[in-house]
Amino acid sequence: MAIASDLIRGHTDTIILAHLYGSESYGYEVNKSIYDKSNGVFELKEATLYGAFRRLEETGCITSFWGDEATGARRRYYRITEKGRKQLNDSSAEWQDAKKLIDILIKYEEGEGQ
Amino acid sequence: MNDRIKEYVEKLFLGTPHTRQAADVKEELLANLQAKYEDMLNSGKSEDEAYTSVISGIGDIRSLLGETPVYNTEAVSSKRHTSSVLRAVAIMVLIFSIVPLIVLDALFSGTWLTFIIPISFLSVLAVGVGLLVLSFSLGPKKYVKGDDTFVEEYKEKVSGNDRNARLWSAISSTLWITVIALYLLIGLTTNIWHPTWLIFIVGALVQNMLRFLLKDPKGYKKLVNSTIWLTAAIFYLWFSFATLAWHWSWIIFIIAALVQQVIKLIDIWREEE
Repeated sequence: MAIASDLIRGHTDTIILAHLYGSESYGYEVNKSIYDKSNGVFELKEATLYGAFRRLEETGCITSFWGDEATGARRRYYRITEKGRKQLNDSSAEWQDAKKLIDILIKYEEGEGQ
Repeated sequence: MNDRIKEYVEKLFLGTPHTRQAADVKEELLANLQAKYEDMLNSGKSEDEAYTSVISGIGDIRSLLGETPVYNTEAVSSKRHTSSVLRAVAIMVLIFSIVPLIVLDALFSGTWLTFIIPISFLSVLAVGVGLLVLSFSLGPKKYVKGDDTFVEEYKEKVSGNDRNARLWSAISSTLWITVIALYLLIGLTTNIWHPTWLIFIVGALVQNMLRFLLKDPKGYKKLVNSTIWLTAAIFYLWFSFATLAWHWSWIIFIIAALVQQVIKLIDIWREEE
Protein backbone atom coordinates (compact mmCIF):
# COMPACT_ATOMS: atom_id res chain seq x y z
CA MET A 1 0.00 0.00 0.00
CA ALA A 2 2.91 2.32 -0.76
CA ILE A 3 0.92 4.71 -2.92
CA ALA A 4 -1.87 4.91 -0.39
CA SER A 5 0.63 5.84 2.32
CA ASP A 6 1.78 8.85 0.35
CA LEU A 7 -1.75 9.89 -0.41
CA ILE A 8 -2.70 9.68 3.22
CA ARG A 9 0.39 11.54 4.37
CA GLY A 10 -0.68 14.49 2.27
CA HIS A 11 -3.79 14.78 4.41
CA THR A 12 -2.10 14.51 7.80
CA ASP A 13 -3.20 17.97 8.89
CA THR A 14 -6.84 17.29 8.01
CA ILE A 15 -6.72 13.90 9.74
CA ILE A 16 -5.43 15.50 12.92
CA LEU A 17 -8.07 18.22 12.80
CA ALA A 18 -10.73 15.57 12.40
CA HIS A 19 -9.50 13.79 15.47
CA LEU A 20 -9.48 16.99 17.48
CA TYR A 21 -12.90 18.03 16.28
CA GLY A 22 -14.78 16.23 18.99
CA SER A 23 -12.43 16.78 21.90
CA GLU A 24 -8.97 17.97 22.80
CA SER A 25 -6.15 15.46 22.83
CA TYR A 26 -2.42 14.97 23.12
CA GLY A 27 0.26 13.61 20.79
CA TYR A 28 0.25 9.90 21.56
CA GLU A 29 -3.52 9.68 21.76
CA VAL A 30 -3.88 11.24 18.30
CA ASN A 31 -1.25 8.93 16.89
CA LYS A 32 -2.81 5.85 18.49
CA SER A 33 -6.25 6.73 17.19
CA ILE A 34 -4.99 7.11 13.64
CA TYR A 35 -3.12 3.81 13.92
CA ASP A 36 -6.15 1.97 15.28
CA LYS A 37 -8.63 3.49 12.83
CA SER A 38 -6.43 2.52 9.91
CA ASN A 39 -6.00 -0.99 11.32
CA GLY A 40 -2.30 -0.56 11.71
CA VAL A 41 -1.77 0.52 8.10
CA PHE A 42 -1.00 4.13 8.80
CA GLU A 43 1.44 4.98 11.55
CA LEU A 44 2.78 8.50 11.91
CA LYS A 45 6.26 9.18 13.20
CA GLU A 46 6.45 11.46 16.23
CA ALA A 47 8.41 14.01 14.22
CA THR A 48 5.79 14.12 11.48
CA LEU A 49 3.08 14.53 14.07
CA TYR A 50 4.80 17.42 15.82
CA GLY A 51 5.51 19.08 12.50
CA ALA A 52 1.81 18.94 11.69
CA PHE A 53 0.87 20.24 15.15
CA ARG A 54 3.21 23.17 14.70
CA ARG A 55 1.86 23.98 11.23
CA LEU A 56 -1.69 23.84 12.45
CA GLU A 57 -0.90 26.00 15.44
CA GLU A 58 0.94 28.55 13.32
CA THR A 59 -2.08 28.92 11.06
CA GLY A 60 -4.37 29.26 14.04
CA CYS A 61 -6.28 26.02 13.48
CA ILE A 62 -5.40 24.63 16.88
CA THR A 63 -4.14 25.90 20.20
CA SER A 64 -1.97 24.05 22.67
CA PHE A 65 -1.53 23.96 26.42
CA TRP A 66 0.38 21.89 28.95
CA GLY A 67 -1.54 19.39 30.99
CA ASP A 68 -1.38 18.82 34.75
CA GLU A 69 -0.01 15.33 34.95
CA ALA A 70 0.23 13.70 38.35
CA THR A 71 3.45 11.91 37.49
CA GLY A 72 6.00 11.97 34.74
CA ALA A 73 6.62 14.50 32.01
CA ARG A 74 3.92 17.03 31.17
CA ARG A 75 1.72 16.27 28.20
CA ARG A 76 1.05 18.85 25.54
CA TYR A 77 -2.64 19.02 24.68
CA TYR A 78 -4.15 20.42 21.54
CA ARG A 79 -7.56 21.90 21.01
CA ILE A 80 -9.22 22.80 17.73
CA THR A 81 -10.28 26.40 17.08
CA GLU A 82 -13.13 27.88 15.10
CA LYS A 83 -10.74 28.48 12.28
CA GLY A 84 -9.67 24.86 12.54
CA ARG A 85 -13.23 23.60 12.27
CA LYS A 86 -13.77 25.70 9.21
CA GLN A 87 -10.51 24.47 7.73
CA LEU A 88 -11.55 20.90 8.37
CA ASN A 89 -14.83 21.42 6.57
CA ASP A 90 -13.08 23.04 3.64
CA SER A 91 -10.47 20.31 3.39
CA SER A 92 -13.10 17.57 3.61
CA ALA A 93 -15.10 19.16 0.84
CA GLU A 94 -11.96 19.49 -1.26
CA TRP A 95 -11.17 15.84 -0.72
CA GLN A 96 -14.68 14.80 -1.75
CA ASP A 97 -14.37 16.81 -4.93
CA ALA A 98 -10.93 15.41 -5.67
CA LYS A 99 -12.17 11.88 -5.01
CA LYS A 100 -15.06 12.29 -7.47
CA LEU A 101 -12.79 13.75 -10.10
CA ILE A 102 -10.17 11.05 -9.82
CA ASP A 103 -12.81 8.35 -9.96
CA ILE A 104 -14.09 9.83 -13.21
CA LEU A 105 -10.64 10.21 -14.69
CA ILE A 106 -9.33 6.75 -13.94
CA LYS A 107 -12.45 4.98 -15.08
CA TYR A 108 -11.90 2.58 -17.91
CA GLU A 109 -13.99 0.01 -19.66
CA GLU A 110 -12.88 -3.24 -21.11
CA GLY A 111 -12.79 -3.48 -24.86
CA GLU A 112 -12.81 0.23 -25.66
CA GLY A 113 -10.59 1.70 -28.31
CA GLN A 114 -9.77 -1.63 -29.93
CA MET B 1 9.71 7.29 33.35
CA ASN B 2 11.69 4.63 31.60
CA ASP B 3 15.36 5.48 31.93
CA ARG B 4 16.45 3.87 28.70
CA ILE B 5 14.02 5.97 26.71
CA LYS B 6 15.01 9.11 28.56
CA GLU B 7 18.69 8.39 27.91
CA TYR B 8 18.01 7.83 24.23
CA VAL B 9 16.15 11.13 23.87
CA GLU B 10 18.88 13.03 25.71
CA LYS B 11 21.41 11.65 23.25
CA LEU B 12 19.13 12.53 20.38
CA PHE B 13 19.05 16.15 21.46
CA LEU B 14 22.82 16.49 21.87
CA GLY B 15 24.22 19.31 19.82
CA THR B 16 20.88 20.89 19.10
CA PRO B 17 20.26 24.55 19.93
CA HIS B 18 19.24 25.19 23.55
CA THR B 19 16.04 27.03 22.86
CA ARG B 20 12.81 26.98 24.76
CA GLN B 21 11.16 25.55 21.69
CA ALA B 22 13.57 22.62 21.70
CA ALA B 23 13.00 22.04 25.41
CA ASP B 24 9.24 21.98 24.82
CA VAL B 25 9.58 19.46 22.01
CA LYS B 26 11.79 17.29 24.19
CA GLU B 27 9.30 17.31 27.04
CA GLU B 28 6.35 16.57 24.75
CA LEU B 29 8.28 13.77 23.07
CA LEU B 30 9.22 12.15 26.38
CA ALA B 31 5.62 12.25 27.60
CA ASN B 32 4.28 10.69 24.40
CA LEU B 33 6.99 8.04 24.24
CA GLN B 34 6.31 7.12 27.83
CA ALA B 35 2.58 6.81 27.14
CA LYS B 36 3.26 4.61 24.13
CA TYR B 37 5.71 2.46 26.08
CA GLU B 38 3.23 1.83 28.87
CA ASP B 39 0.52 1.07 26.33
CA MET B 40 2.69 -1.56 24.67
CA LEU B 41 3.58 -3.16 27.99
CA ASN B 42 -0.10 -3.33 28.86
CA SER B 43 -0.89 -5.04 25.59
CA GLY B 44 1.56 -7.78 26.43
CA LYS B 45 4.76 -6.72 24.70
CA SER B 46 8.05 -7.35 26.41
CA GLU B 47 10.16 -4.45 27.65
CA ASP B 48 12.61 -4.84 24.83
CA GLU B 49 9.93 -5.05 22.17
CA ALA B 50 8.19 -2.01 23.58
CA TYR B 51 11.42 -0.05 23.74
CA THR B 52 12.40 -0.86 20.16
CA SER B 53 8.94 -0.07 18.87
CA VAL B 54 8.84 3.25 20.71
CA ILE B 55 12.29 4.33 19.55
CA SER B 56 11.71 3.38 15.94
CA GLY B 57 8.59 5.50 15.88
CA ILE B 58 10.35 8.75 16.60
CA GLY B 59 11.36 9.80 13.10
CA ASP B 60 13.45 12.79 12.16
CA ILE B 61 12.98 14.97 15.22
CA ARG B 62 16.12 17.03 14.76
CA SER B 63 14.94 18.73 11.60
CA LEU B 64 12.03 20.07 13.64
CA LEU B 65 14.36 22.00 15.86
CA GLY B 66 15.52 24.38 13.17
CA GLU B 67 19.16 23.44 13.39
CA THR B 68 21.52 25.96 11.89
CA PRO B 69 22.93 24.54 8.69
CA VAL B 70 26.65 24.01 8.53
CA TYR B 71 28.14 26.71 6.36
CA ASN B 72 31.00 26.06 4.03
CA THR B 73 33.69 28.00 5.87
CA GLU B 74 35.73 28.57 2.76
CA ALA B 75 32.85 30.18 0.92
CA VAL B 76 32.08 32.31 3.97
CA SER B 77 35.58 33.68 4.37
CA SER B 78 35.90 34.51 0.68
CA LYS B 79 32.58 36.32 0.73
CA ARG B 80 33.68 38.30 3.75
CA HIS B 81 36.90 39.19 2.00
CA THR B 82 35.04 40.43 -1.05
CA SER B 83 32.71 42.52 1.03
CA SER B 84 35.54 44.26 2.93
CA VAL B 85 37.45 44.95 -0.26
CA LEU B 86 34.29 46.30 -1.80
CA ARG B 87 33.65 48.48 1.21
CA ALA B 88 37.17 49.91 1.10
CA VAL B 89 36.84 50.67 -2.60
CA ALA B 90 33.45 52.25 -2.02
CA ILE B 91 34.81 54.61 0.62
CA MET B 92 37.77 55.52 -1.56
CA VAL B 93 35.44 56.36 -4.41
CA LEU B 94 33.30 58.49 -2.13
CA ILE B 95 36.27 60.46 -0.89
CA PHE B 96 37.58 60.95 -4.40
CA SER B 97 34.21 62.16 -5.64
CA ILE B 98 35.24 65.65 -4.55
CA VAL B 99 38.12 65.59 -7.04
CA PRO B 100 36.11 65.80 -10.27
CA LEU B 101 34.08 68.49 -8.60
CA ILE B 102 37.08 70.70 -7.92
CA VAL B 103 38.92 69.93 -11.13
CA LEU B 104 35.96 70.42 -13.39
CA ASP B 105 34.95 73.54 -11.50
CA ALA B 106 38.36 75.05 -12.24
CA LEU B 107 38.09 74.05 -15.87
CA PHE B 108 34.49 74.69 -16.74
CA SER B 109 32.90 77.12 -14.33
CA GLY B 110 31.67 80.15 -16.18
CA THR B 111 31.46 78.31 -19.47
CA TRP B 112 28.38 76.70 -20.90
CA LEU B 113 29.68 73.33 -19.80
CA THR B 114 29.01 74.12 -16.13
CA PHE B 115 26.36 71.40 -16.00
CA ILE B 116 29.12 68.79 -16.23
CA ILE B 117 30.28 69.66 -12.74
CA PRO B 118 27.26 68.53 -10.69
CA ILE B 119 26.57 65.61 -13.01
CA SER B 120 30.02 64.11 -12.74
CA PHE B 121 30.17 64.73 -9.03
CA LEU B 122 26.83 63.04 -8.44
CA SER B 123 27.69 60.14 -10.72
CA VAL B 124 30.89 59.36 -8.87
CA LEU B 125 29.00 59.77 -5.62
CA ALA B 126 26.28 57.41 -6.81
CA VAL B 127 28.85 54.79 -7.76
CA GLY B 128 30.50 55.08 -4.36
CA VAL B 129 27.26 54.84 -2.45
CA GLY B 130 26.08 51.96 -4.58
CA LEU B 131 29.26 50.01 -3.90
CA LEU B 132 28.97 50.73 -0.21
CA VAL B 133 25.43 49.45 0.03
CA LEU B 134 26.39 46.41 -2.03
CA SER B 135 29.25 45.63 0.32
CA PHE B 136 26.84 45.54 3.22
CA SER B 137 24.52 43.11 1.52
CA LEU B 138 27.42 40.75 0.88
CA GLY B 139 28.18 40.40 4.58
CA PRO B 140 27.89 36.71 5.43
CA LYS B 141 25.69 35.47 8.27
CA LYS B 142 27.72 34.60 11.27
CA TYR B 143 24.87 33.40 13.42
CA VAL B 144 21.35 32.51 12.51
CA LYS B 145 18.88 32.40 15.35
CA GLY B 146 17.53 28.94 15.90
CA ASP B 147 14.24 30.03 17.31
CA ASP B 148 12.03 33.00 17.84
CA THR B 149 12.86 33.39 21.51
CA PHE B 150 14.30 36.68 22.61
CA VAL B 151 17.45 34.88 23.71
CA GLU B 152 18.17 33.85 20.16
CA GLU B 153 17.38 37.31 18.85
CA TYR B 154 19.81 38.83 21.30
CA LYS B 155 22.55 36.37 20.33
CA GLU B 156 21.99 37.23 16.71
CA LYS B 157 22.25 40.96 17.36
CA VAL B 158 25.38 40.59 19.45
CA SER B 159 27.14 38.58 16.77
CA GLY B 160 26.74 41.62 14.58
CA ASN B 161 24.90 40.16 11.68
CA ASP B 162 21.33 41.10 12.43
CA ARG B 163 20.05 41.95 9.02
CA ASN B 164 18.14 44.95 10.26
CA ALA B 165 21.23 46.38 11.96
CA ARG B 166 23.26 46.01 8.77
CA LEU B 167 20.53 47.46 6.64
CA TRP B 168 20.24 50.34 9.05
CA SER B 169 23.97 51.17 8.90
CA ALA B 170 23.88 51.04 5.14
CA ILE B 171 20.88 53.34 4.98
CA SER B 172 22.25 55.75 7.59
CA SER B 173 25.58 56.11 5.85
CA THR B 174 23.87 56.55 2.52
CA LEU B 175 21.64 59.24 3.95
CA TRP B 176 24.39 61.30 5.56
CA ILE B 177 26.74 61.01 2.61
CA THR B 178 23.96 62.22 0.37
CA VAL B 179 23.21 65.11 2.71
CA ILE B 180 26.86 66.18 2.85
CA ALA B 181 27.18 65.80 -0.90
CA LEU B 182 24.12 67.90 -1.60
CA TYR B 183 25.23 70.53 0.87
CA LEU B 184 28.65 70.83 -0.75
CA LEU B 185 27.16 70.77 -4.20
CA ILE B 186 24.68 73.52 -3.59
CA GLY B 187 27.20 75.56 -1.62
CA LEU B 188 29.99 75.30 -4.16
CA THR B 189 27.89 75.97 -7.21
CA THR B 190 25.66 78.72 -5.89
CA ASN B 191 27.69 80.01 -2.95
CA ILE B 192 24.49 80.17 -0.93
CA TRP B 193 25.82 78.50 2.19
CA HIS B 194 23.44 80.24 4.51
CA PRO B 195 20.04 78.62 4.47
CA THR B 196 21.52 75.53 2.81
CA TRP B 197 22.80 74.27 6.14
CA LEU B 198 19.18 73.50 6.92
CA ILE B 199 19.69 70.41 4.82
CA PHE B 200 21.36 68.83 7.82
CA ILE B 201 18.22 69.36 9.87
CA VAL B 202 16.18 67.80 7.13
CA GLY B 203 18.66 64.93 7.10
CA ALA B 204 18.17 64.38 10.81
CA LEU B 205 14.41 64.41 10.33
CA VAL B 206 14.67 61.91 7.52
CA GLN B 207 16.92 59.67 9.57
CA ASN B 208 14.48 59.61 12.49
CA MET B 209 11.69 58.76 10.18
CA LEU B 210 13.72 55.98 8.66
CA ARG B 211 14.51 54.76 12.15
CA PHE B 212 10.81 54.36 12.81
CA LEU B 213 10.39 52.75 9.46
CA LEU B 214 12.90 50.00 10.08
CA LYS B 215 11.98 49.21 13.70
CA ASP B 216 8.52 48.37 12.54
CA PRO B 217 8.03 45.55 10.09
CA LYS B 218 4.68 47.01 9.17
CA GLY B 219 6.47 49.73 7.25
CA TYR B 220 3.55 51.26 5.47
CA LYS B 221 1.96 52.95 8.43
CA LYS B 222 5.23 54.49 9.48
CA LEU B 223 6.01 55.50 5.94
CA VAL B 224 2.81 57.50 5.82
CA ASN B 225 3.66 59.19 9.09
CA SER B 226 7.18 60.09 8.05
CA THR B 227 5.97 61.48 4.76
CA ILE B 228 3.54 63.70 6.62
CA TRP B 229 6.22 65.06 8.90
CA LEU B 230 8.83 65.54 6.22
CA THR B 231 6.35 67.36 4.08
CA ALA B 232 5.41 69.48 7.07
CA ALA B 233 9.06 70.30 7.76
CA ILE B 234 9.76 71.21 4.16
CA PHE B 235 6.66 73.33 3.89
CA TYR B 236 7.49 75.02 7.13
CA LEU B 237 10.99 75.96 6.07
CA TRP B 238 10.02 76.99 2.57
CA PHE B 239 7.03 78.95 3.73
CA SER B 240 8.95 80.67 6.49
CA PHE B 241 11.78 81.70 4.21
CA ALA B 242 9.38 82.92 1.61
CA THR B 243 7.22 84.98 3.90
CA LEU B 244 9.63 85.43 6.82
CA ALA B 245 6.61 84.84 9.04
CA TRP B 246 8.38 82.47 11.41
CA HIS B 247 6.11 83.33 14.28
CA TRP B 248 3.02 81.66 12.96
CA SER B 249 4.13 79.30 10.20
CA TRP B 250 4.80 76.72 12.92
CA ILE B 251 1.07 76.09 12.76
CA ILE B 252 1.99 73.78 9.93
CA PHE B 253 3.21 71.28 12.50
CA ILE B 254 -0.12 71.34 14.27
CA ILE B 255 -1.82 70.66 10.96
CA ALA B 256 0.59 67.79 10.40
CA ALA B 257 -0.23 66.29 13.80
CA LEU B 258 -3.91 66.58 12.95
CA VAL B 259 -3.46 64.82 9.63
CA GLN B 260 -1.49 62.09 11.35
CA GLN B 261 -4.27 61.52 13.90
CA VAL B 262 -6.90 61.41 11.20
CA ILE B 263 -4.95 58.79 9.32
CA LYS B 264 -4.48 56.79 12.51
CA LEU B 265 -8.23 56.87 13.11
CA ILE B 266 -8.92 55.74 9.56
CA ASP B 267 -6.47 52.85 10.06
CA ILE B 268 -8.11 51.71 13.29
CA TRP B 269 -11.52 51.94 11.68
CA ARG B 270 -10.31 49.91 8.73
CA GLU B 271 -8.73 47.30 11.01
CA GLU B 272 -12.01 46.71 12.75
CA GLU B 273 -13.76 45.85 9.54
